[in-house]
Amino acid sequence: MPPALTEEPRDAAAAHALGGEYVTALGKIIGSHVRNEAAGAAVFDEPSISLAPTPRDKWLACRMAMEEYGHHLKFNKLANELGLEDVQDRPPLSVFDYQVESWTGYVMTKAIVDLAEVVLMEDLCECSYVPLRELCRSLMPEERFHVGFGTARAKRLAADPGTREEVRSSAHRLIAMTLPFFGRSDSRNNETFRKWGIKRQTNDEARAEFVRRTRALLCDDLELDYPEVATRWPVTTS
Amino acid sequence: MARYYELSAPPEGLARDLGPGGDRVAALLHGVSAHVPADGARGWASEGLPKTLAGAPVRPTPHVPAALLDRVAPSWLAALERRRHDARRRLHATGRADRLELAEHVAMLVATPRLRPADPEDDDALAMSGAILWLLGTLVADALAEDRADALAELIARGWWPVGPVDGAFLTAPLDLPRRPRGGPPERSRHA
Repeated sequence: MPPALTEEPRDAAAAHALGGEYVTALGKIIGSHVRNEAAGAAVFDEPSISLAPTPRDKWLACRMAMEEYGHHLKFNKLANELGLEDVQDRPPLSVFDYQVESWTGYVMTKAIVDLAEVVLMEDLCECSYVPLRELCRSLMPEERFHVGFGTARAKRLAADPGTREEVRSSAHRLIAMTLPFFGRSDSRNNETFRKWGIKRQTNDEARAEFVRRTRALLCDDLELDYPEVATRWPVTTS
Repeated sequence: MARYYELSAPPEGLARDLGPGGDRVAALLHGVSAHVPADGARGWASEGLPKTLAGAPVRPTPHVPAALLDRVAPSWLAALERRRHDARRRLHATGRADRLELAEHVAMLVATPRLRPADPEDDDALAMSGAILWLLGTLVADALAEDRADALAELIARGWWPVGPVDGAFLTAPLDLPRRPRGGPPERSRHA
């Protein structure tokens, strides 16, 4: 437990008893998930249902879209319990500007963007705020299935000469677009999150873990090259 | 507009809040909550099924082997996709997008957790679950836009999943199939 805490807060009242800084920090994390889970369902998953090449893939895409929307609601409920307002006021992260125009493009969002979500959520599975920790632990099987789906389909598509280049270009583009997802290298917010035990990793540590796993996916599983990327992110992100 | 975070059944007053077609949406979702209990699978009985659907004889089945999932007629799926698209477009054009959003929101809350497979990595069961959710989304939009009786919606309201035309027959399976242990219906099932 971090020095700032004597006991882990088990509900919203206990979180508020720790003061405004703790609740504000929680609000930034929870609000980000409220926005991004909804954006993922609306921008990536829902439009991709009609792109699926087979009934089975169509239905799996539908199941995943509904799950992502369900995650959005569960984070929204947590925000509501904490009395957080305006969590949807800010736009979602810029990675959701990526246009899914093909089934391959969609598969790569599951393999890469959802992997970033898994990396972030794994850290929150140890969060000091017990309701957030329990929520993240309960969502991990679904999030891992989404990444596994993306990875399995990506392997098939990368093995097909007709789609291999699109797998590569989508992966490179998505990896570059996803890196800011983890926040600035010198982030005051992240210092506050770690002070209160909301997160354990620095933004650069989480980003490095994402790079490690996506490198394994591209170079080992798909036998593709990896884009040149920086694991530090010194600029302000949206 | 009312917002909900969790629902085990359609909320009181949903049909009224949705306006025309709302009673059909409510009946559909009540069927899901009645026939896919949160505590496990139910038995099944094939009495009262229609003789034909989509021009093919109806064939009830307690199982849908994974290999059959990809043999559902693409033309039937494409026709449903068009129905969904047309209904949504009509609801937007007539200023009822917020009613559509409410209906889809409630449908997702009622159905997604109930249709969650026991094993989160069972992708056959997840595909079946997704098939029912996809069909529900289509039928919810269509009910609001058209407010007319629909054979597929009636099957769901009575606890059946209209799987679709496969090899010359229209397959129907128990609505709670995605939640069932793999290998068949529970012991207490009865065949008509």
